[in-house]
Amino acid sequence: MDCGSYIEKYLSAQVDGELSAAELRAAEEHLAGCADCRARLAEERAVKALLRKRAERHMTPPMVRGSILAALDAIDAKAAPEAAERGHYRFAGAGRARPTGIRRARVWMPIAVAAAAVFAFVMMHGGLTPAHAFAPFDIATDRYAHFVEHFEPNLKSNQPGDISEAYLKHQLPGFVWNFQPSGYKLIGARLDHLRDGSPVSYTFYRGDAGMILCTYMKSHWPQPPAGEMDEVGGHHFFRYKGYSICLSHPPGGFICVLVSQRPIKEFEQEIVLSAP
Amino acid sequence: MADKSGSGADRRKRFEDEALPHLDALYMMAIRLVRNPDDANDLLQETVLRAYRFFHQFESGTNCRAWMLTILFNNFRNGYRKSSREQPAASSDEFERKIEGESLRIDPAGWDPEAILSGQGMEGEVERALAGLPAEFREAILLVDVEELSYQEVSGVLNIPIGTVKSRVSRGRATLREALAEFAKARGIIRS
Repeated sequence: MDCGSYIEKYLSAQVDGELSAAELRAAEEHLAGCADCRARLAEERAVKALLRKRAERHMTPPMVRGSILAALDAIDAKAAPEAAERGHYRFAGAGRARPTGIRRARVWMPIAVAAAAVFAFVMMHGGLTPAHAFAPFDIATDRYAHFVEHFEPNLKSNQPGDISEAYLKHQLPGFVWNFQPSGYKLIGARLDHLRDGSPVSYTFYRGDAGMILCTYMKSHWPQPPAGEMDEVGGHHFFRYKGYSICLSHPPGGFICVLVSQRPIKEFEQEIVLSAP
Repeated sequence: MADKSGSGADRRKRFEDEALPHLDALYMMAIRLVRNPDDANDLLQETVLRAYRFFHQFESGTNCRAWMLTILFNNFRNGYRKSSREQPAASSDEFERKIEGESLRIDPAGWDPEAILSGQGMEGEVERALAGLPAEFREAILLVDVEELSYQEVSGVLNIPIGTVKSRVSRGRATLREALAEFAKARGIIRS
């Protein structure tokens, strides 16, 4: 190894402790015979230390901290009446209070229980490796626009039980929404792969009011777009590119993105009516 | 499979224990990114509130500071860079108004980022050198050297490949070394 490639490829990573064992051996071999690079290494460490010193932090001004805590209080206060609705994926035996006055439907119950059990297994053994560099909302809305024109299911059955089973087999959450209470019929389902090879499921519903697309995919932290966002029963509602989106988060590093063209408040109502 | 969101009081306590200790780190990063008291303030607040809303997605045992920095950088890019180029469906103004409505108004007169960043003699040299770096090098350097994140974590925060993190750190530090040369020579860090 010459000095140029040591400095370019090894120096910083060595100081940061990011070299593999083999790389470190190669680096040390070079350093042993090169006083210049040893000196350069010491300098690199000094520069890093100088920056590290900058980490001596300034306190967040009390006014700023105070306003943030107040905002958290405001969120808590708003969320309290919905607390009983939280945790919407916890179906089996979870005796939660229901809001009065709204007739609430359930996910097809036996499926949900089976799904929860199998899904727990998948979670334990499937590993959590979310590493997407895509915008899940773009995928969901793009597919929605496409499916409204032309939806071709690739699962033979349109029965929730069969669909759930197929999803689970592909290491996706086996939850299948039942939007019948809101007047939507399950048309069919697709299993596909995203560009990075991870599985994705599309369940498509049609009703008098329009269509709903339900997408499950492995993803961490989809950043909702800046703008108005509602939180109802643990679901996050917002507008994106002219669509209404409902984002929720089954356990296991997955997200559930529901897309509709309904106005956001109507969409919220439909989801609340149908939420498991 | 416990419900990670927990009850309201439970979530709040976990958030205060795990996330809020990183507030000062986020505050410093916000100041470095936007350099304007009002914007830094908004960015910090928006970041913390979003982190709170999505706290159920934080995986216990992983690096909470890295997770919150990811949100901060996402907010920074979405709210401050993109909005000038493309208008999202719902305007970010609405979001700001909502946030403001939920919180007390902050007095911006009490603090000044420039003073905080450059006021302290020789530390000002380091800040000036940092400020002179191209943004992408600066961000990588700050996350690795100041926040002490691993390359892997930085890759997640900035949403770039590890190899890119590595080369940005390497080139950023080399640039910094030159910028600091005079100062460093005087302090005996670099040979003349």
